[in-house]
Amino acid sequence: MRWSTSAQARAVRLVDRSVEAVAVLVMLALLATIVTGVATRMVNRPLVWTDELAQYLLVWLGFLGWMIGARRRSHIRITTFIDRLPRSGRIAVEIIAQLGVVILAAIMIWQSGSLIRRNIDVEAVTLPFPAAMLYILLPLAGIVIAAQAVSEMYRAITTADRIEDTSGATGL
Amino acid sequence: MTALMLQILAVWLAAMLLGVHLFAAMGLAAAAFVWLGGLGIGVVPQKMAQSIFSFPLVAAPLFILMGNIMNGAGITERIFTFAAVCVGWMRGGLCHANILASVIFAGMSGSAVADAGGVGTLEIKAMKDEGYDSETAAAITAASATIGPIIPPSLPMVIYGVTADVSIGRLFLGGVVPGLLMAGALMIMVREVARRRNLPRHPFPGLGDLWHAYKRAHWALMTPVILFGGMMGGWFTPTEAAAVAATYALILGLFVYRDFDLRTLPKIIVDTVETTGVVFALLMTAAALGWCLSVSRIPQTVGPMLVEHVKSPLLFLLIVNVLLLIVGCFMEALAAMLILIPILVPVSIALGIDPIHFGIVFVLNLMIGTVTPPVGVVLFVTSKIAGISFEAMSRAIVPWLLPLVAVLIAITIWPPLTTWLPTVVMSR
Repeated sequence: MRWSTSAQARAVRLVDRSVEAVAVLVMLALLATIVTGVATRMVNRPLVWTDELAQYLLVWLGFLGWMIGARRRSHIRITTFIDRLPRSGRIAVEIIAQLGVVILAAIMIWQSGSLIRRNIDVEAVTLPFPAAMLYILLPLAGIVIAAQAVSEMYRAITTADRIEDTSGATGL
Repeated sequence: MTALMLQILAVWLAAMLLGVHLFAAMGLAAAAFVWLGGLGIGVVPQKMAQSIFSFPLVAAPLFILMGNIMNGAGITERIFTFAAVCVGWMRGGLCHANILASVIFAGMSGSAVADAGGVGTLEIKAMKDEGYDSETAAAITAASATIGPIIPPSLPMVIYGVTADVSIGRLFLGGVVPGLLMAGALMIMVREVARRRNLPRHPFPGLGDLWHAYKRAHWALMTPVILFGGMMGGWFTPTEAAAVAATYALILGLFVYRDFDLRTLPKIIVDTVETTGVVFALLMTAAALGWCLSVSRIPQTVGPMLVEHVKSPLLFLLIVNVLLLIVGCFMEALAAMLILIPILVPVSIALGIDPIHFGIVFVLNLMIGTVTPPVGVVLFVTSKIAGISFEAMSRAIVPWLLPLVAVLIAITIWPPLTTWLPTVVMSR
C-alpha cells in the first residue's frame, strides 16, 4: 500500500513537472515569436509565419494553463452557497460539481479524435503542420482535468472539512 | 430553439450558484444545447479551441507576464519611491503617492490584481510604517488599483475587444481620460480626508532628491513610453507592444537593474500560464455557449424587445450601470463580462451607443466590482496584504467608492470623455 501511494505521488509529480516545463517553453516561444515578427518587419524582412505560429502557441498555452489551474484548484466557482450547507449536503453538491467537470472533460476527450482526424489533411496556412494541431492538447487536458476532479471527489468524501475556496482571481 | 435555450440557461444559472465550476457550467450548457438540439456535439470542443485561436488575444498572457516580471524585477519599487518623492510633501503625502504610483504602474500593467499585489504591497507597508491605520492604507490601495485596467494597457479591455469585436487600440485610448479622472477624483477625496484628520506630510525633498529618484526610475518609466509610442506611432499592434514591453522589462531586470534572479523566471512563467488558463477556460467555454446563444436567436429576440421598451440610450446606459454594479458585487469580473457581453452589446449597438463608449463604461463598472464586497478580488488581495479581516476591509472601502462612482457617472452621461481621444489620435 505504501509503495503504491508513493509511486502514485511520483507519477503525479512527474506529470505536473512535465506540464509546467512545457508551459514555460511555450510561453518563451510565444514571446520570441512575436518579438521576431516585429524585429524582422523593422528590418524590412518580414516573416509570414510568426502571427499564425503565435496563435497556435496561444491555444496550447490555454490548455496547459487550464491543466495547471485544475491541479492547483484555482478555477473559478461560487462557493457562497456550498459553504453554508451541512456536511452531507456539501459532499453531495461537491460530487455533482466534480461530476460536471468529468462530463465536460469526457466530451473533450471523446470528440478530440474526430476533430483531429478531420483536420489532419487540412494544412495550416503558413506553417508546415496540419490544422489538427489546434486540437492536439484537447485529450491530454481532458484526462488531467477529469483525473483531478475524481481525486477531489474522493477527498470530499474522505475529509470532513469545508470545501476550501482556493479559486483565485482571473488576474483582472 | 429559443425555448430550449431558455430552459438550459435556467439550469445553468442554478448550477453556477450551487457551486459548479463556472467553466464546467458553461461548457455543459453548450453541450446540452447542441445535444438536445440535434447538432453534432463535436462543435463544443471545436468552438472552444477556435475561440482562443486569435492574434489580439495573444496580448492577454503577455500583459499578465509583463506585470509579474515588473513585480519580480524590483521595477515596481523604483516607481513607488519616485512617486513618494514627487507628492510626499503634500498633506497625506503617502496617500497621494499611492495613487500616483498606481497611475504610473497602470501604464505598464493591465490588471487591478497585479497592481494591488505588486505596487500595493509596497504602498500598504510604507503607509503603515508612517503610522497610517491599516484600514485606510488598504482602502486607498484597493481603490487606486482599479485604475490599472482603465489606463492602458488593459487585460479586461483585450478580452472585451476580442469578445465584443471592438478595436482594442481604440479601447485603450478611450481609457486614458477616465483613468486620469479616477486618479484626480481619488486625490480630491484624499485632500479632504487629509485636512480633516490632519494627516502627516514630508518636507519638500528638494530638486536634488527629486532628480535622484527620477534617475533611479528612469528606465522603468520608459516602459509606458515604449508601449504608447509604439502603438500610437503605428510601430506595433497592442499584442506586439505587450511582447516588446515584456521583453524590455526582462532585459531591464536582468541586465540594467540586476535585481531579477533568472532562476525565478520559470515560477513567474508558470504562475502566468496558470492565470491565463483560468481566464481562458472561462473564455473558451463562454465562446461555445455564446455560439449556442446566437444559434438559438435569443439576442435577436431579447434585443428588439429591450430596444422597444428602453428608447433612450442614456436610460439604457443607466440601467446597464445599475445591473453591472449589482452583478459586480456578486460575481467575478471576467465571468460577468463574458456572460453579459453577448446580451448587452447588440442592444447598445441598436440604440446607437458608441462601441468604445459602451466598452469603457462596461469595463469601469466591472473594475468597481472588484472592490465591492462580498465578491471583490482586489479586496481579498489588499486585506491579506494589510493583515486585516475581509469584513474590516469591506467597511473601509465604502467611502472610497464615492470618487470612482462619480467618474463612472461622468463618463456615462458625457461620451466625449471616452470617445474624444481615440477619435483625435486614430483619425489622423
